[in-house]
Amino acid sequence: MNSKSFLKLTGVYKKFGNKEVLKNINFEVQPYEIFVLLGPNGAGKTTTLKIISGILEADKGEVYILGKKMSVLNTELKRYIGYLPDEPYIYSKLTGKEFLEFIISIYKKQPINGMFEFFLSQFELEDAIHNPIETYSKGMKQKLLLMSIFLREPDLILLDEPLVGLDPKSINFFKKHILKLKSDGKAIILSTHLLELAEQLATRIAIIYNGRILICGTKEELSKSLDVYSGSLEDIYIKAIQIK
Amino acid sequence: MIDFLFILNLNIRIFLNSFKFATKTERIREFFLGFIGFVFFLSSYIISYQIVVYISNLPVIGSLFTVRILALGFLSSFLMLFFSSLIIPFSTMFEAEDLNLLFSLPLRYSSIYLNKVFLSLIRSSWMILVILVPFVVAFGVVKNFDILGYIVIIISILLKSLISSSLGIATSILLSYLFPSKKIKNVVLVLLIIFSAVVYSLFRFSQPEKLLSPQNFHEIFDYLDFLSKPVAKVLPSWWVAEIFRGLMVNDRNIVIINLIKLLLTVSFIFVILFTIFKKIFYKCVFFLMSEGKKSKLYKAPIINLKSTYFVVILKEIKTLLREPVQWIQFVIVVALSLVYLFNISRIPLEFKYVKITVSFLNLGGIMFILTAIVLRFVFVQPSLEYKTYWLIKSYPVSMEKLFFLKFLVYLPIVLLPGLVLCIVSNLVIGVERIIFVFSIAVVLFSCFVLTIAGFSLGLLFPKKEFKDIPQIETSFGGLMFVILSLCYIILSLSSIAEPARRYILNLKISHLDLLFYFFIFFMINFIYAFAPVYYAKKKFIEEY
Repeated sequence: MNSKSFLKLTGVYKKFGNKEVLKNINFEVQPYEIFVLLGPNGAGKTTTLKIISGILEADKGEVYILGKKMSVLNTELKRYIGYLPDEPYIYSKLTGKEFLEFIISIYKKQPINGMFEFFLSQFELEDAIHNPIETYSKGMKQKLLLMSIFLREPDLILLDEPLVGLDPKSINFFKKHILKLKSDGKAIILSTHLLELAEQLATRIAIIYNGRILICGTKEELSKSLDVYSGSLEDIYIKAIQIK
Repeated sequence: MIDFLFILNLNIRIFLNSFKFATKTERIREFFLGFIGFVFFLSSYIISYQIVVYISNLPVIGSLFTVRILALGFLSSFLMLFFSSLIIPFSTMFEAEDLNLLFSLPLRYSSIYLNKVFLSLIRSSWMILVILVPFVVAFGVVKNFDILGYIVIIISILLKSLISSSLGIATSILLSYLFPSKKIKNVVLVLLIIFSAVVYSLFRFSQPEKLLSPQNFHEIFDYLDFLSKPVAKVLPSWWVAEIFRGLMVNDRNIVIINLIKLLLTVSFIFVILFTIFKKIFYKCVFFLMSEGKKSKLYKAPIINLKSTYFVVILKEIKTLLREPVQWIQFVIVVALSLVYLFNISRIPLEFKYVKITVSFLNLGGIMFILTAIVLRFVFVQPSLEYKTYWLIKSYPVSMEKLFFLKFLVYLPIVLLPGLVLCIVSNLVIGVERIIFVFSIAVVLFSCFVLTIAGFSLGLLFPKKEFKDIPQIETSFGGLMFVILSLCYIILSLSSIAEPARRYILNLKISHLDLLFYFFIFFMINFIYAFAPVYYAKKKFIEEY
């Protein structure tokens, strides 16, 4: 395999019962890259992220992180990953602070001085941080989970619909911080329906439909290969889906 | 009314779809549960039939005793229904997931309220009504009731159930109005559990068995007088018992008077429920929907890196202690244990072989109590955490280490009552030292095995969606755990029964035989502990 690949998926298949949700998924992601998985509901984006993060096992095919094979049991590789799910269920009986303390202790990574206070103020969680998570709104839970990832600064960040429930100020901060993490050399995979977000952040885009990657590349590469002269991601997406 | 039927149609469709779109595994589960239900029904009918025949044939006191037993049975079901109806409305009325949707639709408020009351009535009473069926049928068969008799019985029991359920629902609406907070459900649940535990213990300690034997009364007339007195005369349960008596002695007046009493009471409660309480419910729901959250004064927190062992154990303990419905169940465990020890102390233990036999059977009793504790505290854990398993699976901590830490937290909860029960009961029985040590060893083993098996089976059969913890305990997985644990208790005790028998009868046993029996005992324990672990691990890797 390519030794430079930070993350590599080769021929990944996954079935749930009789339904094949992933069919031969192949892509690579490098550091200093934001890789966007774009696709409709049920296309296989969440399953792909779950397999990369070691939550699910692929039926066929392999996932390599830093050249090592990823699996549900590979706890060592999980240390390099920060995963944000599409449905942020967390321990409702813990307070926000207790949850963050729990996460950084599990990952054994003390945050840089001042970063905790910085994220708290950016996400406006100062008042809620001592309250039980069961009193949080969906957006607040999302912010807390984003904080738990940002505080650790993992090398591979997997974000599944990260903007769900976030307020405009938090969205703005999120975008800036993701770009900062990219410039720090992190590899980021972002799954979204939002074309605007993909357009603003993506280094490369993969359009996934019905468990298959239809097309993958930079925005320019996609518009060239699909003959979309407007250059708009919306037109690229629609054309890719129509051709499928 | 059209709105009500519209929502009802939706409820029925949701209920039917759960069967229609069930997976193969779910269908097998349903079939299995149906089979268990059928066996329960049949055995309840047979036992009820025998009891009714026996009681009816008692000389002199037969008919009086029958009515008294009926009255006690109906009083218990009346109270059980009232208490269950006190809790059910919190999930079906105040915290119903579809409440926001229903209020956003152009539906009449009274229809929504009627629907919610109707669902609460059904959810709180169906199980108790079903349990009563085999008993009522057995009673009818023994007493030769005709079709009209059965119809009267069904109507009277339904009316009694409507009264107790409606009273329970009205009380919970009133409580939510007087103490408008989402925490009121936990408060009510905690108070109910404490109340039930206290009542149960007091009932047992009052030695009710004395009341059923005439020799405890100075005169036989005192006894007959006691039997003929009504049980809670003002409650509808007594009216239903009177209807049964009326059918037995063919006195239509008794039947009609008591049926009218039931009908009038139901009508009165329904009028109150659909006038005053309808308005109160409206206020409660909108208050609870807009309940504010108190925020503490902001203080810059400091977060520290701690050891993995420490944070995982701390998280488990905090989660357990912050779930009042969980830890309050300790009260039930204490009440059960006290009653159990009291029962042991009432057994006449004059002879050595009786002591050893009771001590041996006591092991089965303790293991059964341990099964109930594991079901309440350990088995439910995987379901409670089911939705956060994405987090656990993404941790850089091995699954074995994580589950071992959980085991360390939950083992003392099982171990402590197990050892206390074993030591105290053996002291009460007054067994020899060797039996004492042997009992402790067996209980220690079973604590380890049941805790591991309980957690693993909880992982294998998680209840993914639930409204409260008892729903997890009574799920298919919970039933499987109880059945498998009963098999484990019977098998492991059977494996050491022969050495115990020889010891009681002072017969010799060779070392080789002893080794063989204990090998079987260890194997049974090993299989029950580790076979579920193997499959649970497999499922945890493949699913979630």
